[in-house]
Amino acid sequence: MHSKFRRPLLGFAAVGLALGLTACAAGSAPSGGTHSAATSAASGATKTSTPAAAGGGGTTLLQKVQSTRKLTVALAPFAPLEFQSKKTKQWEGFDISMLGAFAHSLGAHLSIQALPFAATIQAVSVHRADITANIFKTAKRAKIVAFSKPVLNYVDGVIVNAQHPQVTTDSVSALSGKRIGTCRGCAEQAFVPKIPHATNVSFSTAEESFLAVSTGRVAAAFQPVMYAQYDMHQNPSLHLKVLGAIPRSAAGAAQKPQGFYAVAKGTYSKTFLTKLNAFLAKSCKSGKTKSYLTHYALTGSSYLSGIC
Amino acid sequence: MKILRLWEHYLPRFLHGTLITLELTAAALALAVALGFLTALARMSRQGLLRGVASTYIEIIRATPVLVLIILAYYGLPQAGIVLPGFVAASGVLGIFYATIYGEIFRGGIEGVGRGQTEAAQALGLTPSTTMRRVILPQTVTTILPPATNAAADLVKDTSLVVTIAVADLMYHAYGAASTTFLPMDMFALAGILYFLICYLLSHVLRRWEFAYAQRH
Repeated sequence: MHSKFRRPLLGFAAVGLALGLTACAAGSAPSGGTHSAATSAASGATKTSTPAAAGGGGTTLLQKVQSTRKLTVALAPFAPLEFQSKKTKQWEGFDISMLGAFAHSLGAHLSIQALPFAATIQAVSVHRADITANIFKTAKRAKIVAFSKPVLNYVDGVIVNAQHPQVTTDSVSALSGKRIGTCRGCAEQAFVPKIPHATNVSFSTAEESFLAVSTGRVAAAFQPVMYAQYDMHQNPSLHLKVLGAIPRSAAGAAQKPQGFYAVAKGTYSKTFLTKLNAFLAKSCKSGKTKSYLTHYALTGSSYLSGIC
Repeated sequence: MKILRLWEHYLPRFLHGTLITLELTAAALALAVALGFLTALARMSRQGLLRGVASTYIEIIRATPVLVLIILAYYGLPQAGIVLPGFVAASGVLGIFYATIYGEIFRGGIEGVGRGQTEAAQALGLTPSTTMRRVILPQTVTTILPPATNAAADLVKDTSLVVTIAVADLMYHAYGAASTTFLPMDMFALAGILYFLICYLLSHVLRRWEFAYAQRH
């Protein structure tokens, strides 16, 4: 073969091999793939079992948690639901309290696997983590994870700069053509395309989107109102204002979404999910859920309306 | 095949991201080469202050991860009242970082030319700038090109870090697609192929240029 063609042909052969391998991987369920997010375990080690290993031999998620005495939760920081305390450096928040109590009821301790939000759902679907917290239910997510009973009510809001707002009303016309910050992988990303000529600017965390609003990089952010209120309270230098709810034409029924816990789909997680739902119902009935919310200053009656 | 249909659906977005990646690379590379050359000259200067400033700049910037610099430029500077658009911050940081690498590449190439060449040029009455331009630099090209090509390929790959500051390059779109399809293997494979093509074409072009230059000289 002429040397001039050898290298390009070798290059194309390598690409073809990669394509072939990827096609094989794509042929399997999404839970068989790997995810590429970086992991930074704040505490505890990460269990890296494959679906085959976890499912093989009939071990269920509940059995695994009870035998290892560890419940691994994949989550991204969303204060006041889960965050690292500045003082104690430990993970705190409503979800940490709830899941910590649930882990305790199973005779296990909680292990946090901190990930970018976009990676948390994938981590659960491929069994890198046992559970993820604080996610909205969407049709796409329902294909790869199983949801618990609803845990919390949210209101998704339009967050703008308090000092120099680029948007003055929470209407579609006011938001048209604007740069709107969201969190990568979050359900709010799907709302922006419904605003004419708006540009979605995705960040790794809600706090980054708030920073972008505060510095004028984006005109508004679509985030749950509780996040903005908490961050504003903690950081007076953040110049934010909650303008109102995301327009219904953009958010649809998801204008007032609910938060769920999620586990991997299938029989592997069935018994675990039954236990979790029973725990959530009991926690609601006993007032524990409300007390956890109150502890983190989430005192509005709307949070648990229709849930407890 | 399912994956090809998926790729077909997302390809326009990925190609738009590729365009941003190329623009970012071009802007950063232009800054890196220009600033790198000046840095190399400063490092070789007889003036101690200039040498010191250049050395300090190289040591500090080269020892700091690019991601830290990008985040500092994007999130840190606004605290001082300087709000740079994401693309400007990213290309500026990448240019400044890679200027340290190109500076050392250029310095190595220039110092690799025998002193006899400079002395001969001086003996012929050539000015220092003419000596550099007509005698020294042409001889450094074949020495500089291989490491410069490697650095350029590294720069292309490092542009993927701008996903952290919401610049809509190829990695940004790949990450977004993976988070909505929950098929990270498929999405990042496509991004990987596009990055490979960019780096391969870049190194191929530079290699052909190096070969042609060597033939002529």
